[in-house]
Amino acid sequence: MSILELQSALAALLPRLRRFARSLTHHREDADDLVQVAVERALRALDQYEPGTRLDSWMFRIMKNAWIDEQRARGRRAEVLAPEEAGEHVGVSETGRHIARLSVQAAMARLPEEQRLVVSLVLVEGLPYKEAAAVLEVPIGTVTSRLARAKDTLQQLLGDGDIDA
Amino acid sequence: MNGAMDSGRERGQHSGDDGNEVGGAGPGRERGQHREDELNAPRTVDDATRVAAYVDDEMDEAERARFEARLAEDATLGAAVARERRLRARLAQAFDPVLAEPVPERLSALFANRESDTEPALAAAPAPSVNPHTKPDTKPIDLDEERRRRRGGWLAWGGMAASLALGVLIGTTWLAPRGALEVAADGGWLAEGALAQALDAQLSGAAAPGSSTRVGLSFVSRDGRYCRAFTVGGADAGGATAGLACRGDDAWRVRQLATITAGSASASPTASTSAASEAFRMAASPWPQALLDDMDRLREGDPLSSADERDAMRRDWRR
Repeated sequence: MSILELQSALAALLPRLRRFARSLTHHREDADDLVQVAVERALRALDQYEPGTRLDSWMFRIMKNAWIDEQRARGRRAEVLAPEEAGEHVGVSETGRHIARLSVQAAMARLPEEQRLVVSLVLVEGLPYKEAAAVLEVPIGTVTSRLARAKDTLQQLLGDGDIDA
Repeated sequence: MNGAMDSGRERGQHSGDDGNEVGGAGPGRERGQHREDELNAPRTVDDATRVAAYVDDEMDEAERARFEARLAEDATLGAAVARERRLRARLAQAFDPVLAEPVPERLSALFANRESDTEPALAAAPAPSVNPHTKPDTKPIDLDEERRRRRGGWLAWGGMAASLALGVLIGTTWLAPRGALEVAADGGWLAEGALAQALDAQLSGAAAPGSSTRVGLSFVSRDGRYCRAFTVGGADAGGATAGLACRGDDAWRVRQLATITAGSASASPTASTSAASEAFRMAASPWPQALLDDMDRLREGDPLSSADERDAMRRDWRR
């Protein structure tokens, strides 16, 4: 693929990149900031894209790295600003079954970062496990186990608990 | 191609190489009878993994067949599958509307600003996106106006064409009134109705009774999607329209349309003629050169065989 074709293919991915970002943070400006940072990085590094691999996965990996960088910076800020929220992202609390029907966005926000990333890649963006594993740079088994736990948590938070519950 | 991975998973990767994370669940977990059951009964863990693999389309054919046979008889399994699907549907409901939002200017501008950088590359490209020699033969509905407006023009030839410009044309092409296209949430075009059905279910080269849509051939694109070239209509309708659609998440996204003008024979072969173009020339319709060029740039490997197509259909054209 020529540079031109790559850029064009990247531009065509923008709506999906925005969806991915919004599933990571429901704050719209934050999400678009993330897309912008990642696209800027990608455009500077087009020569590092391996032809024959999935361009969307490549972009998601760049976004994931940018997001983690951002989270680290934000985490430092958050420690200063809002220490009481540090322990917030517990999956299911004891009253989990009673927190019926959080919004999907709120439920996603409660997932640990690493689980939210897997949900976004596999369940929102539809990546095969193998691709998601490559994006996250973890083994496939890590993807499936994170996914399983994330789904349990989401289903409970969204009021669709265990079928036998 | 998922076989190795699936069998790996079934051998227990689910809890195996990620063991340090398994115990990290929230407080509800320790209390949850369900989890203990899972730990004490591997068969349940396997089934949870299988349900996920099934819904996530990660099974090979044999696994899928076995699972579906059990599914037909096991209501509990069916409920678990339905529950997985509900979660996916809720996520789609929450996040898919983002695709329909206009892309903010500050993001599309990241590309527009680079046009001046890329012009030399365009000039030097061995296979220019726009082949001037074929202009007289075909009338690509592909947005000269949009390209002028955007000065540079490369966008109009990439996948972005759909999201930026095709919407403008939707009233002018005869495909839209026939319900073959719909504007996607992000402004691109999605195949609808008879066109979508043909792309979903028609083998290349086959003419379905009562359908004016023919699929010319299918291939896998470099970004890993299935793409299919098609024609709609005939000379009586003021010329057939040829197009190229690639499978998006849940629909066929039409990335290019070109009118086949009456009497336009196949464009004369060019030096860049490839196997895919040759395959096209075997087909009955004269395919617009612009479309052939686009396809050759896009495709990875040879056109799919009928067997490949059937296989892709079974998987709903997802890879």
